[in-house]
Amino acid sequence: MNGFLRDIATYDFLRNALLASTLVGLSTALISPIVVYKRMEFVGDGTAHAAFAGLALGVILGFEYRIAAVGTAVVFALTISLLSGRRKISENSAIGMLLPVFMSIGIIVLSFSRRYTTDVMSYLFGDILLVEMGDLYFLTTLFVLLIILFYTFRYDILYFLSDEYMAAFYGLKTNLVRTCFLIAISVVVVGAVKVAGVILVSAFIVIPGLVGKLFGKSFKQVLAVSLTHNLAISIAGLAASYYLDLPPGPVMVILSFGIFMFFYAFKK
Amino acid sequence: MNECVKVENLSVWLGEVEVLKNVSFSVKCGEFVGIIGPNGAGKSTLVKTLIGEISEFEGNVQVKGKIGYLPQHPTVNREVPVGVRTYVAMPLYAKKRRLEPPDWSKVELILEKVGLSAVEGRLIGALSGGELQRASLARALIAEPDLLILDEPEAGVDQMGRARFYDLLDDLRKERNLTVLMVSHDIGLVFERCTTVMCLNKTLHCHGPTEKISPEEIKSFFADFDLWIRGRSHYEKEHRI
Repeated sequence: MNGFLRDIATYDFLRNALLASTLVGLSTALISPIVVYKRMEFVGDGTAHAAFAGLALGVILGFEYRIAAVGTAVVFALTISLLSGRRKISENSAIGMLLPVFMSIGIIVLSFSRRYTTDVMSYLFGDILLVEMGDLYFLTTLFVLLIILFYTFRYDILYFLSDEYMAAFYGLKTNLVRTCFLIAISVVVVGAVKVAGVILVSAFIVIPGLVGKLFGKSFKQVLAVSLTHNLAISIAGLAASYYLDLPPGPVMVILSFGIFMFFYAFKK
Repeated sequence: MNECVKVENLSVWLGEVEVLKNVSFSVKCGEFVGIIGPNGAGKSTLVKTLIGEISEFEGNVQVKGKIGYLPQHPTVNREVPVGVRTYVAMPLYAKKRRLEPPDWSKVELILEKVGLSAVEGRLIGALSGGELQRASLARALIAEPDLLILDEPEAGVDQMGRARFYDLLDDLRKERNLTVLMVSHDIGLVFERCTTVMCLNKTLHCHGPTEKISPEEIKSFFADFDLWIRGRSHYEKEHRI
């Protein structure tokens, strides 16, 4: 462990990687219980793939990739909302249809780049060691904003989760909560791409909520367990990948799944 | 008595199907109206029009005052760890500013009224069907409605739970001069508890005080439906058919 701590203190890129994975872990842990209770796991996955198209456009056209990725992810989320709102197409069908479309756009756009293979691999599976200061500012701002929104609208979120139909009847703006939540997923996914990549990010969004659901006796407890789980796997996962010389994103995902399975198997 | 609900020439189309056709009636404040009719008669469509969920219709619908509503099936996701107090406080929260806490004393009072003080610390997912129904009634009442609309409240609740629920409803109705509009498949229950009965099958076939609607009228209307079969033993006993 000494070697890892010493290198964290010595190397900026490793310190940035630790900070980024921690912030990504905490941000995804906040939205995870909502995704799990609303059974929106596929939305998270689809949004991540949609962000890939934006990332590719940003890289090729040379403008801020985060803005492009958030843009495409938001367009994806709102299109899903629009299509499924008309009730002729289910939410899952709309996602299943649009996910490969956005992914294909991303792949086609990136094929124009000379660094095609490297870029694809780093966006699909994450490349935590390439984290820059800009990413850390983005992730910190995102996490602070999420905390403020969660605290201010905690009851709106709770009623949206527990009884959306009656919450709308009593005048809560549930459609607004849903749209804001879809946008929040989009932004979190974009923030998480360098750590987890678009393929692995859904594990960060789904597993902590499932672990929280196993233990939480109240929504606060579910959130606390979810945050603790992701904080632990962010730090332990990075340390494990350092010692085993393996890519950090996949190590974190396997560790996270292992913890879930352990609790799932042994919890009464 | 004043009229609390007035519906004139209401017609509702859902896609190609005319679900309600030229329905007109009024409900006086304080009445307990039972709406009966076979499956597909348009009962739930009428309810959804009254609560404002269906906004595209022909005709005129006027509801005086605030509405409390219990839907046909509980819409709550019982997996979400929400406490009974928080569940009941929903209408209070919807009206206040974001960071103000709801008036918990009001919540405790209404829970006592519906006999759920003992379970107020529990999660909503741990309640029985009957308890959940009373918690939903408490939630509807906490908004201090003038009109309470119940869409088949007997569904999923055992006999004891039903009796307790309707006794409670009777007490609350008298205490608050509450107007109640209840959709039911249980014809016996409607004749036992309601002051007025409405028979609906796309159009309004009968409407009047329960003691003045003739058994033949109901029988001829419902003879072909399982609704009648299910409710008939109780109804026959009461009306000595």
